[in-house]
Amino acid sequence: MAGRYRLSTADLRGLVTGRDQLAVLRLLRTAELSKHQLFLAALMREVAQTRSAEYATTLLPAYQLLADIEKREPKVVRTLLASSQFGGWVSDCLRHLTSPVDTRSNTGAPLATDLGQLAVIAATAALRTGRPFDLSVPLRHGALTFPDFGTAYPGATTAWEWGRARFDTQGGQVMSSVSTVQIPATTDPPQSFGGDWSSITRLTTEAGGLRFKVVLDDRDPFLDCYGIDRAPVTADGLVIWQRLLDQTWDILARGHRRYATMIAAVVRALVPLARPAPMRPVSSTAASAFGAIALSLPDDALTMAEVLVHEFQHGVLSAVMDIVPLIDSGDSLPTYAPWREDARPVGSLVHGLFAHLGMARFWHHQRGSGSADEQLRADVEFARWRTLLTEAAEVLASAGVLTEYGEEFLSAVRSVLTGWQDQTLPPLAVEYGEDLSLDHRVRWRLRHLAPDSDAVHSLASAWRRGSPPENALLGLNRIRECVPAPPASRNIRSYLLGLRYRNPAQFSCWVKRPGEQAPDLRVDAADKALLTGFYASAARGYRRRIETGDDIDAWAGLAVARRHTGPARSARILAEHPEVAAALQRTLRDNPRADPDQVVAWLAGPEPTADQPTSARVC
Amino acid sequence: MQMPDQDQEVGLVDLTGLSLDDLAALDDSVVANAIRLLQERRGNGADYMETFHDFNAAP
Repeated sequence: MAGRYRLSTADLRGLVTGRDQLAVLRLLRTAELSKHQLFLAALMREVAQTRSAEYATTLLPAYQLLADIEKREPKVVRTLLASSQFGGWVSDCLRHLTSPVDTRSNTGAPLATDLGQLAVIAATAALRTGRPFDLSVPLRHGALTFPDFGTAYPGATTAWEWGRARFDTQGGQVMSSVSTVQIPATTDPPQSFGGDWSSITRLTTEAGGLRFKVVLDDRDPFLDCYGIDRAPVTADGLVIWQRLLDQTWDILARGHRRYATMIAAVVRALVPLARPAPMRPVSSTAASAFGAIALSLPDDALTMAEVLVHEFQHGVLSAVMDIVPLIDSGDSLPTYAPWREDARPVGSLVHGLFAHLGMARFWHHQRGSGSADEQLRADVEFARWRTLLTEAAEVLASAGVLTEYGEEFLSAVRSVLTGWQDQTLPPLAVEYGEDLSLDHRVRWRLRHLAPDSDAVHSLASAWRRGSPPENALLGLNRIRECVPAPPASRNIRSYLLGLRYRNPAQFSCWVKRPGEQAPDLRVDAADKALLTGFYASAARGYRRRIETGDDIDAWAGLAVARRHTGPARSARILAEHPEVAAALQRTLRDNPRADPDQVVAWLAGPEPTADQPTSARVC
Repeated sequence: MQMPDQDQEVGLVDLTGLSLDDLAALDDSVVANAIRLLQERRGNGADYMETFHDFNAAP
């Protein structure tokens, strides 16, 4: 008889505070298997009712084969059903079948082809157990990928041709209208590239007595679910991935044992992604594919370790949220998330908090390790995320969107953050972290907050009259909706603000010879001045850019520069109300006195005299 | 097949003890109810195909 999964508040707190939670992870893994079983049950019912022909000819024979194999080899079938590839498949098909709107499949294939994947999954189980079978299977552009096993390339005359897969005394075969491909007899064939069969790519590494084994899955159609192109793995690329994973695992297994143990227990697949731009690494996790982490090839082992911890956290919390509700389902207003370019529902801060808390913990433990550059990097990341997470936790706490479990979760997050507050950090680390955070926040405010137009006109009238501003007008704004993310190349200064502590040598090359790093990208004089610490010069450059037109990046640059040069009150306006300053300056653009610094200084009011208290820190 | 506590509104249903044959025999309403609860639990309009893209988003 079936019961329900339960997660105690002690278990939830343990996950947040980073205690060894292998028992909880085992529970989450079985819960994800249950979710896949539930989806499969729903899918079979839906197809039986709405697509009876496909149910009879494709799904039912495949299901029955799987059920027969399960009677003798339950572990093989359970492993397949629990896999991220299966989760991706069953979730995608179920959404496609049941969505009230016409959603497009992630794979771009006809629904019949996607539904037919169950035959491929059953064939995989049969091949693994030596069970004879003969099934009709859907090809995709002449190829057939068996999950976690390999790909046959028999070719086809049409994109979505159906072929046959079978196993008998002659061995395994995949047949199409073009050719027949022999499937290797072993259940774990060696990696191969080219030819009509390609085994799945596997990575195995070991450090400190802890082994980590994953597939590098660049081909399963249902792990192509991240909205980012995958990057096919070549023989040379495999060597690079293996070397980087070896270095990464050495860091994690020796220095972050708990995370390494938990990652080894959960992660079964890495999905290689293509970078949207050379300076823009990406990674992602899908709620439908527990145990898979998608990532572009990281720049270095520390980054890869950070990515694995971050995405592992997403996967864990996603599984937690299948068991217990953390967020009320009511609507919530979009808000700033320091890890996103877009505006996010307040409730979604839960996920970002948990993922970045793991990252911050990683950097916390990493502090004091490695070279001087690596130590600075750990200090900056820890400083930055400690501050940003504390702010985000306060926003979430005041939003009123959490359930009882959610409140427990947040309480545990805050207790971790409180425990970190007394850590002393080098001033340079704090400065680098604050520069980057301020740059991001100001750009976000300028893109997503629209000041009240009446308030801006009132301020403009006061400016023209020579009257002081009305401070109450500064906070009147609303969130713009559906603002697309900026093109990657526009954000080159942000990238470099990060690069200066992540890779100082590469940063130096960028600043000295930007054209050699990427011919189509340039760092202008103001950005170069900012990045090299000439803040007054940078501010002059940004003022000129602002005066010649709307330039969000220039306003953000001016905010960072004024954080260093002062005046403190102007710096605060630029940090806290840049959207008002920009809107007012735009309104007054025809006024010859309305240079950006003057507009900001007017909004800020007079600087305090020497004997008056002030606060120069603005972020 | 009926579940003993299907009226409870919190907690993903544990099906790991069920074979594929058992799954096929489950009552349709049990499956439909479990799916509904799972979708509601995600909150904020996110569904079970949600993806997370926030690592290093700033650059």
